[in-house]
Amino acid sequence: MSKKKKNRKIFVITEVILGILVIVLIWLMLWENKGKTLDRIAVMIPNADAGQWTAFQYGVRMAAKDYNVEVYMVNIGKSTDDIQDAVQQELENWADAVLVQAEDASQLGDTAHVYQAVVFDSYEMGQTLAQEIVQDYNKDITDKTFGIIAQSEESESISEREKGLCDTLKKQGCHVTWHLFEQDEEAKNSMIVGQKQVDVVVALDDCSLVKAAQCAATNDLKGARVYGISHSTDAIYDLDTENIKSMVVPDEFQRGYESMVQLVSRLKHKNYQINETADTYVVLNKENLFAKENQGLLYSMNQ
Amino acid sequence: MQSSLIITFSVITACVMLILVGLMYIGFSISSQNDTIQNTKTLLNQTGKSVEDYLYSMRRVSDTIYYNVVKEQDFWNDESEIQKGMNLLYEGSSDNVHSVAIYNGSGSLMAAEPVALQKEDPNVTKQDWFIQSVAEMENMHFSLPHIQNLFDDGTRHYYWVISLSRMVELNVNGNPEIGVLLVDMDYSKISHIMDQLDAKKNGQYYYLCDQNGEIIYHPKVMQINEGLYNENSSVVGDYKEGINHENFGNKDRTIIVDTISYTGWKLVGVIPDAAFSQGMLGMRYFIGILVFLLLMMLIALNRIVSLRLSGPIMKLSNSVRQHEAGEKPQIAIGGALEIRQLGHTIQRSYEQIDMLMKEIVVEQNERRKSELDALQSQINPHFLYNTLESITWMIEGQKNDEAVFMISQLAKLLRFSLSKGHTVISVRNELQQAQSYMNIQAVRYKNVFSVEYDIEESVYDCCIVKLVLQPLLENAIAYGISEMDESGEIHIKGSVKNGIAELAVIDNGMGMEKEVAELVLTDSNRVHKHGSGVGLVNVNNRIHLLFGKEYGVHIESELDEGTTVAIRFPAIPYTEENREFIEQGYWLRKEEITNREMQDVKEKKE
Repeated sequence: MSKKKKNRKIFVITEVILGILVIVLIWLMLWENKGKTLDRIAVMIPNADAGQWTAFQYGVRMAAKDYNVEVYMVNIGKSTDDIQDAVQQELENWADAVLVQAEDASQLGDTAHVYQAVVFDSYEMGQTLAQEIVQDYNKDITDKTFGIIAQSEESESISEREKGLCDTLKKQGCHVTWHLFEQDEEAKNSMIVGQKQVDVVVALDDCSLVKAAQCAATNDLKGARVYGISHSTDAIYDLDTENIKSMVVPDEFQRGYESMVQLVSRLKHKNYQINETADTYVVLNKENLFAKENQGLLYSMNQ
Repeated sequence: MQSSLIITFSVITACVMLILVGLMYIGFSISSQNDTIQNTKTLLNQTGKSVEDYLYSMRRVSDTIYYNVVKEQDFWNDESEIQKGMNLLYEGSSDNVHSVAIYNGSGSLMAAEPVALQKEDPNVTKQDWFIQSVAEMENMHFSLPHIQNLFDDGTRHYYWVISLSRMVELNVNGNPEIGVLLVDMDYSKISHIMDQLDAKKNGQYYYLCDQNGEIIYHPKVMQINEGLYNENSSVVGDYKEGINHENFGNKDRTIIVDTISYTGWKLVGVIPDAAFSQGMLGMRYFIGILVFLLLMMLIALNRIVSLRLSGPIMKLSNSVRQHEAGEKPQIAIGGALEIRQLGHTIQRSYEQIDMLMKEIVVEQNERRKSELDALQSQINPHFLYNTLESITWMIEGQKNDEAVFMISQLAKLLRFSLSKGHTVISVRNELQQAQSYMNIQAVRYKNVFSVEYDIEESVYDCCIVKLVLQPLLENAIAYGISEMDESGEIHIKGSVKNGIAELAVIDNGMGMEKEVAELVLTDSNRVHKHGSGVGLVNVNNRIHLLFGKEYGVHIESELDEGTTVAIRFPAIPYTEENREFIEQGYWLRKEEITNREMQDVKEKKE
């Protein structure tokens, strides 16, 4: 090949390479300007408008902001069919993934891109509540009688809380006089009033605790102390007004935040293993309700 | 040359371009950083002003309540008037104020707006705002944001407030008492002002803290409370107003601080260094595209320029190379003025060289002719001397008839030797001349030898240098047979073979040794027995001069057997043109001439 032809060939190759680089850079610049599409996550919560989910939703929104994802809160029913219908609808219409606050993980089905929100260690919370009761009575609770109220014994978290509570009380030699599982709010009030008198009433969920506090306010519990596990402002108010003696408050902000962080990590890295439990909760009573360290918790519940 | 030009131009222009683009990028980057910092400062100033205005309006509310309502009235007698005044002021500021309340020194509620149920034993004396007011009576105090837990409005909701408190003097039944005036400011107002700043996606954000670094507002306040995020607010509390730089969490950040008057609060803008570069990504792509496009254009431009520069030089170089190879192309003249001048100069040089070459050839021919003439002139006296010596000898011996014959033969010989002044004659004339000479010698030597001619017909019309045969015959007689008794034989033979003619003089005389025969033509210093001794060397030189070194005299001799001396020369037909051609010395340069003639024909055809 003559030198002239060789020079021409090198010239053409150089120009082509530079041209390709220009095209690649233009493509990158346009792609950058267009912006990366945000991951869209639907967060499904049964009765999402209820005050008990305020902190959870706040945590979800903060995590979405921190990790640059788009979230949308969806109010769903509690039944498995309701959840699965809503999940399908969101996945088809809008969402890249769905975070569900379900009572039971089995309600989610096998659908891809659907994840259960992080759950608390319910057994441990039950234990902690029992220890708080023991502490309140200066460990002298052998002769005390207990009544336990919850919405449903079929709920996994409720049954775990109850188990943790009962196991600890049993170790102290206590006797649980009655268990009351009722979902109907109206019926529950009269059912509580109709129960045998006990020294301590323990409510294992938000609604039950508020209902028990109401009964205590009207003296229907005949002086029984009310304890419970809750994360609603109603329950906090009842604690403030001393209708509740003491309560375990799970940090829903952190649970919501952590749920989103784990879900985003999973979306970015398919091999990421989601840690399904959280263990942040505090025990509140009248003395420490407005303490500086608990102000943040109250702040998140009032957003 | 072309590729060197392209590479050199491209490298230089690329370097210059990269330096310029680099400087431009650095300049733009610095300018962009300054703009970001300046914008942040401006934004902080504006926001700081809004916060100051809000806090000032709250202080005005507190002042008005104190000086227009509380100080002028007696709590014992004018409670309803005080309540009314407070209500009016509260209603005027209800968008910003959550509640106002007056407590006496022991923490008992004296009045409050809006009218609400105070919670059972809130024990305000243990609350920070109360403690601060009592501790520093002359100032107003702004607390950190906190949950208000004084009143129960029945909504089962808890409000986030900032408490503005001050020590006041109360009139109770005519007696002055100290008390604390509390204005609970709605935190959402400050939160709303700060939210207007909004955190940018490049990581830049703003927060508000007090002089101790305690956070009042932060976009990630909950994450900080939960330990999910850290903020360097405790250190920033000591920063002076203006631009500060820090490294926090292994990240370099620019911190811009604006102080809120009266409160000492600090409005802080945080710009991570990564935020500066993040905004530059698009600029980097743009600069990259610009650089590559410029490179493409520069390389193409360099190629065009170098082709235009080197093309004429290359053509000029090629034509010079062809010249060197012996061709005679037209010198390529083109391109820039300097290159055209160079081409013209080279062309003139070649023309001058050609002219000089022709002059040299002419000069060489002249020189050759002069040499030939000189050699020719060496023969004539030599021959004449011998002949005249013979005639003298005859006249002395009274051999008048023989002398007359000799003189007539000499006259004939001289006439032939003149040959109209030509150097080249035909072999026929040379043989006639030789015959005259031999007739003279036969008389002189009393016919002691016989002469025999054996000449091929084709030899007669060939060209030959005149007077080359006579010296050979002279030598044959002198060295070969002069001392023999009537048995001498001289054989003159002529032939043509492969384009080479040969005239040979063969005698049967004494001959000579081989070594001696080899020295005859080479050793010019030999002492000859007879004559001047220049005959054969002279003949040989003259043939060399006109026909070239490959022709000339060839001697074969054997002692007591005889000698053969042959003249070899090209068999060129004798014509007037060929004669002139040979005499001009062109035979020696015949190949060069042939090439030129062919070139001329070729050019004419083109």
